[in-house]
Amino acid sequence: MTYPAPSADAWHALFNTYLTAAVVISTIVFILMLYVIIRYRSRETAAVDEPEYRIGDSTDRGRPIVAIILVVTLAVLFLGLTTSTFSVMEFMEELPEENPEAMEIKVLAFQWGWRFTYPNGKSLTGELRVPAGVPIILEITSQDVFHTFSIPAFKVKRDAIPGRVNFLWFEGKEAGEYTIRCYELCGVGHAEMLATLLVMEPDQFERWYREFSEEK
Amino acid sequence: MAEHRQNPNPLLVWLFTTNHKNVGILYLVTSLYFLVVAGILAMVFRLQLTMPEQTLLRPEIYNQMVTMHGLFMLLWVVTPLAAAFANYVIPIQIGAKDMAYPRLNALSYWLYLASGILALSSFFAPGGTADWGWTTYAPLNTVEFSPQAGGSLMGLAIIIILSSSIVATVNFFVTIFRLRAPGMKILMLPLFSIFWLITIFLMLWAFPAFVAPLLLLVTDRVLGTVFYTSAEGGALLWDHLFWFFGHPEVYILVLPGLAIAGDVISVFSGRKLYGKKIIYLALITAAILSYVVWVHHMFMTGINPGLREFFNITTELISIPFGVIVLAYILTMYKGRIRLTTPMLFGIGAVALFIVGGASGVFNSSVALNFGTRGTFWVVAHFHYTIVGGGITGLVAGLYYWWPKMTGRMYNEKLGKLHFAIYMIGFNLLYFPMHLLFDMPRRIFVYEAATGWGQINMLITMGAFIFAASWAMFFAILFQSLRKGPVAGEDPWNAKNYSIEWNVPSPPPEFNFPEGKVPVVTAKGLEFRDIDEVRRMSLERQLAASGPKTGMLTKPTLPTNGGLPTNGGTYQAHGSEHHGPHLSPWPLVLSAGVTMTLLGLFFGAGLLILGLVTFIASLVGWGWEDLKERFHVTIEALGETWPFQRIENHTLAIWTFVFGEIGLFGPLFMAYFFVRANSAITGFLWPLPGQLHSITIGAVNTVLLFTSGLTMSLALIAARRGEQQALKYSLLATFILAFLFMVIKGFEWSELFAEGITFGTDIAASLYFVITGVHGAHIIAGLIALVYLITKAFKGGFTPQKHVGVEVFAIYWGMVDAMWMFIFPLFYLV
Repeated sequence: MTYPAPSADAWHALFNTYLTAAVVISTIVFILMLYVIIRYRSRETAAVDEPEYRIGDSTDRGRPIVAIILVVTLAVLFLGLTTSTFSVMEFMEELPEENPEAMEIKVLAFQWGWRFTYPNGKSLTGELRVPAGVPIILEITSQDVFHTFSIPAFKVKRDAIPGRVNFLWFEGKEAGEYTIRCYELCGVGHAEMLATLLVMEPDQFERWYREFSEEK
Repeated sequence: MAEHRQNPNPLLVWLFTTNHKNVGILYLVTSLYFLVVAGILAMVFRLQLTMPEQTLLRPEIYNQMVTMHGLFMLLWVVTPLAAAFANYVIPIQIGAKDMAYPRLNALSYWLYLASGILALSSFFAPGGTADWGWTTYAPLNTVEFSPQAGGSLMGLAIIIILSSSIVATVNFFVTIFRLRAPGMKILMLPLFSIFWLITIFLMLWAFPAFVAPLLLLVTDRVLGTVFYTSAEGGALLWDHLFWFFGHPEVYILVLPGLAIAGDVISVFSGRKLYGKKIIYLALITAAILSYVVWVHHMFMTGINPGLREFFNITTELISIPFGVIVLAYILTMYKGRIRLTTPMLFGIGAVALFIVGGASGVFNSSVALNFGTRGTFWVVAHFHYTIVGGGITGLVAGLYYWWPKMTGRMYNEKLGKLHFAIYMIGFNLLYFPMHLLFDMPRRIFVYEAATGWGQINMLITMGAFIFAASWAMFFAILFQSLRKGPVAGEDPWNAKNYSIEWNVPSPPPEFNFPEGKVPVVTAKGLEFRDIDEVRRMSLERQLAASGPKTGMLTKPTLPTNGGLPTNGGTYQAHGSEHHGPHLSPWPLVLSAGVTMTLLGLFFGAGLLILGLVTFIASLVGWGWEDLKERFHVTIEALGETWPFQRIENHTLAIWTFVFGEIGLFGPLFMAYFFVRANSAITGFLWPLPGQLHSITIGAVNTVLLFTSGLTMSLALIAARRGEQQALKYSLLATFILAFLFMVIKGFEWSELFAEGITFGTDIAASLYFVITGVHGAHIIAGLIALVYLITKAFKGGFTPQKHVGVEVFAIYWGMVDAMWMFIFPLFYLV
């Protein structure tokens, strides 16, 4: 399956890695659990004549090696997962500032909507237009309460916090229309705090941006 | 249950009870009531989400319901339900006749109920209640964005329930450490008692740490301070303080249920727990780690990447000890003889659901995956699998397990198993599909049809109805059992070898054990021995242990009063098993006073005055009851007290409380440093030393307070030596010095007000007023306690053997002095 942005590709690949690990491990554990329960189920409802436990018994049973094996296995697994997480994190957080094509857009979150200010100083509210195939750097802040900016289809997300500026970058692979949403409860308009992301063919975007810059 | 010859009226028994079993049942009924309330809220907003573009609820109502659902479930349902079992069962499991402080136990309950009433009434305050989600993010939680008065009332209600929990924490701490039966070592306790001990350790710091940000929130909302509205504090100040509490809170919610799961798995497979010590080790590791994972809730706030990587790793690490615990549970059943009773099914179910929640938790530890999952239904699925799946399912197992003990009656096992089937189907249909909604934001009241989320939401709502039906069935089963259930007998599960509660009648007698006997644990198992014999044993052991050096403790003396020991208040002389009435009205009256006072703030001055009068009356009444020794339920430390052999109950209690106070003042000082560090960035200029607060006046007050510390020490020495005159005058001197301190403090405040500097002038003023205000409140509490001590001293109530009140107050007063040692330099000198 292909996703509309490199960030979404990276995210889904990482998610699938985690999912595989989670499914494999929980399947093993569930099979073990079911096996033990079915195999050692006792039909007598009343009781065991002589249970193993006794009040005042402080002796232990079991082998510490079992715990050690589990801890080491999980630690190795998590080491692998963490390594892949950190590389995706680096990819998603390293701003392409050296890239001369990259475009910086300021995002202002407010109750309830999004305002996007382009390098030309002009703003759009409720719609973000960007060219396809060009990295976009967003400078995100809020004018009132805590919001969270996200383009769910691209799997990019950053909190919009009053008094702070946060950055994220994304790139749309192809032209298309996507939704921008708020992911932190920000008052009665939270559900409807949407904006449209319009990824345009580069030449179309050029044309539009020129007209937009000339508008009074 | 605790009918006493002198108090035949059953209503009064329930209102004035201090018996741990009655308090447990009160907790049980109340928490189940709140569970139904919070569950109904969830059902209503679930209906709103069933299909896209629904118009059942307006967003302002929806947000309030979501907020209240979360807060109620977390604070008024899960932990109090666990506390119900802890109250009922733990004293019996450890072999004690009651909690260490029966009246404080009742107070915890009544404050809990009071807070619940306050929280419910916040719905009816002008403008409704809190609507910012249970996480209460700043600055949405400030008056500018959420002006409704109910929000402030809700904040106060949370502070009250946290206070109730802190009181309970101190009580359980002393009970579990000091009141165990002879021979009952900590490692011999059932998992539930041990996990509860770790839970209260977590509460002891986490709950005061939540009081701190709430206090700042309430002062922001009511007095106009600027913690969450200023650039120096703001959103991230709340985030750090809140989540520092928030993650230990998760384990506070889950551990009791997980413990019950382990206990029933062991009982119903007839096998000892596998690797019990490793389970404890894992548990302690998880508890410690839970204090260093909070930033994983803040991965998207743009804070330092290195910091986030560190918290990514700690969060992954915390799942390892839980993996160990789960594996140990499964291996416990291996080669056992498994009886699939209803509690066993729910115990296994809790573990199974917790595994799913644990697995999705590993996803959440990943900073990179948070770019997708943060703030979505994926997270909702995750924490419902852990808290409801692991926590509440385990508590349901507990209710089935201990129900026959509490009521003396069995329930219909077939219906119980059917309940389990419906519960699991409903639960998974409700919460599993939420994982698929990893793009759908949490807490939205409506979504567009184009999102394609409609079908999954429909499925979720169907699951919700099945799950709700399973709860209705649960209550029906319990109700039927109460009316027609067969008599259970002492030990319906054949668990008498597992823990003490299955060796006493169902329900147990008022003081738990056969008349005149107490449990003793020996190499052969449990025995009930004559109480006088056990007392003598314990005394001999204490004399042997204390040796020549007794430190600050009173040396135990050989009994002179008819064979009964007196030991600085741990023992109280009494002839036989005749206890005073196990009843006291004051916990109820006190919490009624608190409720009316706080409601009065919002609903009318008349109520406020009535509340204050009631509150003061309750303090006087409580103190009078003590002075007259009207309430003397004897709770003796006769057995195991490791590691606090040399410290008495009251002393341990006050030290525990002091430890909890660190949890309150720590975050307040953290807020101070956070704000000062941010001032350097925002360019806010702090007042220079001496500019706002006169160093001279501050120094005078420092001298006054430290001198009062000195006079208090003199009072303590006098009390130990039995010098009555010196004791009286030192206490009086302490009172006068502390009073003068408050007068000067009041003068300082009024000077500032006269200069136009108030709570909301700037962040420096806000911090000054709140921190010195909290400290001043501690001094006022101290003044009230001193009135009691002075009265008692003038009545000759302290002897070299019995002066524990003075000991306790001296420690408290030392803490109040120590806090000032931080406050004075931070506000006056730098």
